[in-house]
Amino acid sequence: MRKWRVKRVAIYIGAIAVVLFTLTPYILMIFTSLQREVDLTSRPPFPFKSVTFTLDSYAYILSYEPFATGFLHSTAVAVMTTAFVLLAGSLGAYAIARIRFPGRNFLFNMIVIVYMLPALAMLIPIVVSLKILGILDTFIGMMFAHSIILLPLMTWFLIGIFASVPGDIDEACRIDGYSRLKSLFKMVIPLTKLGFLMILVFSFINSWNDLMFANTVGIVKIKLLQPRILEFMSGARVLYTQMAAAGILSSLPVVALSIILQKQIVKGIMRGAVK
Amino acid sequence: MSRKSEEGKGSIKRLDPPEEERRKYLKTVGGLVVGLAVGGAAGWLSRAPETVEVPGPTTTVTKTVTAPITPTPTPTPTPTPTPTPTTPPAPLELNFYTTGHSGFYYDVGRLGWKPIARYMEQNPHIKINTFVDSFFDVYTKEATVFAAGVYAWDAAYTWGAILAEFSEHWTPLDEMGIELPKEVQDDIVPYSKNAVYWKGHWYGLPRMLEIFNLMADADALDAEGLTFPTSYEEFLECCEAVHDPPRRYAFGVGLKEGYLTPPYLCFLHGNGGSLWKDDAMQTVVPDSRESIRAVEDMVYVYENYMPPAAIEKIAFVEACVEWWRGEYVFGLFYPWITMVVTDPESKVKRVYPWLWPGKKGVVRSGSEVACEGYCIPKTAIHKGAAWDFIQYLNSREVQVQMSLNMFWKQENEEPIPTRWSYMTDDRLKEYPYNLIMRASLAALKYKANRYERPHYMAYAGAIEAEVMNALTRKKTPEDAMKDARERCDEILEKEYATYGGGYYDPWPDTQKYSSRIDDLLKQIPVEEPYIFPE
Amino acid sequence: MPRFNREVRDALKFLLPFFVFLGVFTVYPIIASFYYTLNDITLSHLKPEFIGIDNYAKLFSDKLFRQALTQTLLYLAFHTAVGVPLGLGIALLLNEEFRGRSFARACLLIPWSTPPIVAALTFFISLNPSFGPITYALEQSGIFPFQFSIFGDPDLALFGLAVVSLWKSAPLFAFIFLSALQNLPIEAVESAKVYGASSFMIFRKVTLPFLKPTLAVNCILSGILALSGTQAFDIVVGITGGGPGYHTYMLYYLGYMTAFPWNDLGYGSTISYIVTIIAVVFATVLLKLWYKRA
Repeated sequence: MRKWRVKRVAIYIGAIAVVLFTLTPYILMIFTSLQREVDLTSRPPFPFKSVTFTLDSYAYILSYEPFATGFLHSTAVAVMTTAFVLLAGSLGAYAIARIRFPGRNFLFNMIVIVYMLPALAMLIPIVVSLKILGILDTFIGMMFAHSIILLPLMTWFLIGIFASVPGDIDEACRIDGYSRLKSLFKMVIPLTKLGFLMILVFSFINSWNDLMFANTVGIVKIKLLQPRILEFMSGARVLYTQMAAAGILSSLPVVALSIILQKQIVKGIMRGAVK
Repeated sequence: MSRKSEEGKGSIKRLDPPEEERRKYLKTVGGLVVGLAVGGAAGWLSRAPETVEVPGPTTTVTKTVTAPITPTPTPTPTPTPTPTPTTPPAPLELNFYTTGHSGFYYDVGRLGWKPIARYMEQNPHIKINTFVDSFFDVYTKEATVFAAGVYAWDAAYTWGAILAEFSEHWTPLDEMGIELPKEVQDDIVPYSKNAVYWKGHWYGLPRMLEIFNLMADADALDAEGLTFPTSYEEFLECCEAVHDPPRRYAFGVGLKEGYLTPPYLCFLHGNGGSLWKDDAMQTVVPDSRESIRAVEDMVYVYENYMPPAAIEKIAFVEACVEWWRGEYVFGLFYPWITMVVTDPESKVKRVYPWLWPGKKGVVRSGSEVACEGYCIPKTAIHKGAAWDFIQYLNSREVQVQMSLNMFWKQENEEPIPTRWSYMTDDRLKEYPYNLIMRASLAALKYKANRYERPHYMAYAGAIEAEVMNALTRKKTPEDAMKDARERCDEILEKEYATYGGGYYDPWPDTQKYSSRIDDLLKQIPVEEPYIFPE
Repeated sequence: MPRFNREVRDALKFLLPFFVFLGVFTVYPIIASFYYTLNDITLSHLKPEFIGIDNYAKLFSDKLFRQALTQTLLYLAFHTAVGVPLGLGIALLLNEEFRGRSFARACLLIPWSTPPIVAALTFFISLNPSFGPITYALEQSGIFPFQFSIFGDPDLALFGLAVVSLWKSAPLFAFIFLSALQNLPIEAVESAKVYGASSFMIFRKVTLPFLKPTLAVNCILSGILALSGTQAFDIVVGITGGGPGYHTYMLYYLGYMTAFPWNDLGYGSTISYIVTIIAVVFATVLLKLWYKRA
């Protein structure tokens, strides 16, 4: 009986530690954005002294036009990227998971390697390719740029997810007269809805958080959000409170998205995320 | 009907009845299609207006520079005079690219004087789109845009290293048929030339000039009966007298890498040193005797008179708040922190800004200067209009207004004007601007090179890293700087192979202005306590 | 035979968008970037000069490369050897039944979804020697010296960055483990309990083998993140910028600095390829280990 109680206490302590561990930096960031700079950068720091809180930083960011544009553009690009990756990825993953064709194993191994390629080294050729295709500094171009890294990785995950659905189900559909395409969308994907959701969230977050392409593929017409935060940090000038406010605001969509979907995701997905 | 196996139980997955499947299928595919549509729509709605790519514009400009060099009596904004057109000018859009710390972008300037907005009012047919990036990103952005060879901006930000490195991607003014009159060339402070002048060609006009000064809390010095130090040795004595940690530190400046070169150059020049030799390759010599001494001085000052946290402070970013709270007696930075006297909440009530003193018997002073400008990329569309706009940004009114916008906290790097003739504008003769102008002018009589050259960033990175190794006692100053020299030699080889040396050094030219500086100093009035030996 | 062709045709149809996209946007950049490594080429001029394997040879004599390599491997080892078990521990903990479990699980997603720059800035401020709340608290406790610096200390900075990246990664690993744990066959656990096995035995004999594939996935993910992900780049950029004195330089960041600000695209690309090689080796070794046991 006592052992059980000790275990309960240990669990609660552990859980509190986990929550503190994950939340504290974020909460500190929120407090940073609510302070005045003179309070933030002087000793002792909050919460060891009382400070006046102010929403000035938020007011500044919200009235700062490039931030609003960045928010809109980043949303558009993230949504488009997610849709594209899910479509192209599920088609490709289904083929690799289900159909025996020559070179199938080779392709599967290659996909993972693509994810490990040096994106940095490929940056300039990618920019040049986009320019040659005439889609540099466009939404489509940015979507493609983000998908370069995401598509292989998501396909890799999707292969594992699809592989966990028994092949008999497909057979049953084929016998009933469905084409492969139909059986993918009508049967397999709905069965793996939760895994799919995780891929969706992952793609969205990665596209949203991108910095590398944001600055190089986006020039004048496409202005994404993340570089706008860096604007407040220069070689010689750092507006901490504004940066914090911008950071919090820019993290809200992805944090909200994850939290809303977390219940679905945790409840039994990644079934065979590995083959 | 369960759709999935219940948690932890390996029961067989049941298939849904056909109706459910259809609905789910529709939902998923529908969701994806809607997603693409929404994304595309949002993107389409928020797209910037289309700009047509015009290949190789060859506008020849017949206007010449007419910004006056004699002071105008009334401080009303003078728009750049243009020859009266017979037909109303066609509407055009200019893309203007600048950094986040430059005041032109700050259309939220404290004083509410908005240069870009005003230009658009004066020229209703022109719309200026301003694009901003942090200084850290400017380099990558311009590099990739030039590599891609696409149109992006008509007027864009430069400083010495960017101009030099990407010289083939900027339009020289003479290619546009523009020649800067001699009066204008002479009016520009030579240190500012680095940002817009390369190997005999002008590319634009400078927008800012800043020079490091030593600032002291006047009341703190007076209380100890100290006079403003005129030599480095005196400076150390003053530090010793006022140092009282943790209540008050003698000296405050940020030492984080990324902005360590400017203070290093102050110490270097104060030791009579020079970063590069006058040989054919202009060899960078961080391991010179003077440089090693400079680093030894930095280590000594850091360990004895600065707070330990300075090692992580970025330039003067946090230091300025501590300065405002009276926790430092001396500060070494661009002189706008003198403006702390305009803030009634400041603990520092009076400031003495003057020269960073050099070593006794070696040199009176040594400093560091920063400058930026705007030039016209080769892929620009409206080159003539861009040039007009750049001239406007360099006009007296704009330059003086940006200087008036100085503040003790670093919102943006506001500078002193880049033209000698603007420096004695009446508004800059008022307290406390007069102190800043005098301190900057006096410092301009001494060596302050930033040594901008094509691979400046690589050199600065190498030197800063080793200075940091010395400051953290990972290496002795001598070993550190010898290692820095090794890397600099590698960089030098590549740089010389590509660019062939002959980089502009403003110091020899600046020395010719000595008497002019004295004249200007005489024209700026100042009260008794603020007169220091030159 | 006809059936086989139809299968292949089907497969090709499905893979078409995949191939087209990757062909255009991966094959050409790989070839081009590899070509850069064989040339002396700068971003500002983009005129390649063929120099063969000189860039690769340079790696052997470059002191900074060696330093960055060591630091990268240390970082990678720490990130994986500490991060993955930590994630596992958190997952096991959050798999137990207790009130507020869903809330705790939701919290796991916050580090992961926070944009990297925001995360970097948070830690930079929180651990600032002068005004960071965490460092101030530690100072007041008496254990730590006045205004002690983590990110300004050459010996501690890398460790500090590793902790920051752990904050971002361990919850992600925990999440993946947790999801996998949902499929743990209860019968096996039940029957083990019936036979009188202790919790620890159950963990060793039932849970751990079940989680082996997930363990491999997480380790590979950890490797990739530590080498070239946000943990390797954005955090370095946001906090230390490679300092102090090169002590937080890692290969990916070195590749970036070399290619862009230091304007040596050829050599910078070479360094980036080394990162890829390390990632591939790391993943291959891990997969081999996993296959051997499985």
